[in-house]
Amino acid sequence: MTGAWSLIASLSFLLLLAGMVSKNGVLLAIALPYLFFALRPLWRNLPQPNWRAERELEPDHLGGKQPCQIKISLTNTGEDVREVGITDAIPSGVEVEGSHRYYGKFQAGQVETLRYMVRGVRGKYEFSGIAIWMTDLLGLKHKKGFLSCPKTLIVLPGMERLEKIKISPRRTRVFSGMIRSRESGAGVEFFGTRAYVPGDPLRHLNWKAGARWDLLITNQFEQERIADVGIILDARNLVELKARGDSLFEHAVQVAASLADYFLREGNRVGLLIYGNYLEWTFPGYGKQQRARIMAALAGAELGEHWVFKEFENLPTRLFPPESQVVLVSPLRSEDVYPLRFLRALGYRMLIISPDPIAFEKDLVPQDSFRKLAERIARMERNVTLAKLRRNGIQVVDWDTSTPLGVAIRQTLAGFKR
Amino acid sequence: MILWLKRGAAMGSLLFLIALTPAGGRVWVALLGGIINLTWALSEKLPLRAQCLLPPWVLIANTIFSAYGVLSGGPATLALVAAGGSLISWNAGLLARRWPNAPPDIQFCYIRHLGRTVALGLGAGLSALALQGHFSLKFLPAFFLLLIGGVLFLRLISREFQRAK
Repeated sequence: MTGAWSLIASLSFLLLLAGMVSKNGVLLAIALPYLFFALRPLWRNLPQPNWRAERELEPDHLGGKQPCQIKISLTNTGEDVREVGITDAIPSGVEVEGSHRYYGKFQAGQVETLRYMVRGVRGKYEFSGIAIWMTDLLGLKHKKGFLSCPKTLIVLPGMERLEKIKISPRRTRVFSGMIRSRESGAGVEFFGTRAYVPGDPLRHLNWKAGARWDLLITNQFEQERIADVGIILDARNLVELKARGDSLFEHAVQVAASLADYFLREGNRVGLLIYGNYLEWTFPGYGKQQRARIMAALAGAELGEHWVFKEFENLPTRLFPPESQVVLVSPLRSEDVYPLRFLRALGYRMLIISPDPIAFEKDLVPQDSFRKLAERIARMERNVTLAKLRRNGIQVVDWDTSTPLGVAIRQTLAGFKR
Repeated sequence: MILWLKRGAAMGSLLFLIALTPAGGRVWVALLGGIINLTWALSEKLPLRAQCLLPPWVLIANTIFSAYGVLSGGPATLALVAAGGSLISWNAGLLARRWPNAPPDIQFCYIRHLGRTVALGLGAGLSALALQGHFSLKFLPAFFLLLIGGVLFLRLISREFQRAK
């Protein structure tokens, strides 16, 4: 029953009561129209429709600003409904363009299509179903229902197409790729020389070395292979910063997406670990399917706060193959130095892309002498942390989020020698 | 159509209340009822919040005015008709707010439903008043009223039986 019914039933009851208390027959007579209104919903039932709904998302994986068209086909295979309100339950965080509601009559066999567009920021959005609200025409009786037609919309993180990242893990895989493997064989990069043995191609003879040593010397080249790359995304709440509707974590997610895209394009075997509330591990793999898997995982990446994962000490190193390349995307804290050094000591090649939190939030603080001093102190602390990591042979890219990532990587890794 | 039904019923209710309340000697009650019903009749010009809040209070106020009119010695038939009018305007207002551009077939259907309910209620109320001797009908009007009421009642009952099958 609706609020309108409650009102009319209460009024009819009060009039009847007043009539009986005051022994006034006219009041009892006035109560009768109210009473008929109040009794009507008990007399007539609402129709029994039979709803069927199908939802289509086109496309169901989106880029950042791309719109998705949602089409819902609704069918009633039951009785005619005179008044019905249908609303698609929209998950929070999605912008809707167009109408996701229907209000009106719905006859048996009628098919209605709702079409509207949605846009969203990075994330997974669950469209669960449709809320249906039916009433009689007098508005005295209503029935609510929920029709399930679930679909998931994935809005992928934005990414930058990276050109060249120099990595050199100690151990590579057997297939040829783009990463120097520290082993001689077929390749293009000069690796060393050795005495000529019959069968060596003559075009690899090193004439200058041969003239000096009076021997036939042949050039050796370094094999280029693919490698295992493990990307770790730091999703701990304590390193998150938000400013002007922007989030440092979102930048970190974009970095992880760009890196995964780059390493997979180069043919490497890439895995992803999101380290935050729990360990969300995307098992290493190759190719476009793995790219889709990683992007879907990154689309759903959320910040978390768990005492077990407060520090990097509980980073599960067994997930990454020994002596492989590990890329960490984290704004970094001074407390993170020790566990990362430990990881390096285990033989992993480490590359850290660190979105700079000081540059990110400096414009938020008012411009005065205290701000300058505070910024200097924070900058010094950060430089010390980064220097400690670099001293341990860890490549660190200190990235100001207002500049392109590719430029920062190129500038930092240009002079880095293994 | 629904909007005009609501306005017409509100104005009718207002007229009946004005005719009812001065009989008891309280002009300010008639004035207050007039203002409330006029506001309700033109409530589409009010802000949305007021439009949502107004309907229950208008119905409550009109019911109180009708009861007051009766208790202060006003004519019982006018009070009953005023209450019926306020019920019609209140319910039509609900539909107009819920579904402002309802198609004509739905509007006709609604008027049929509302008409049946109000006719039954008012008919029962008038019968009760007649039984109490508040007014006397001549044979022909009473016969025709009974005939119309009977036909309507039989039609309703038969339709419900059909639906039940």
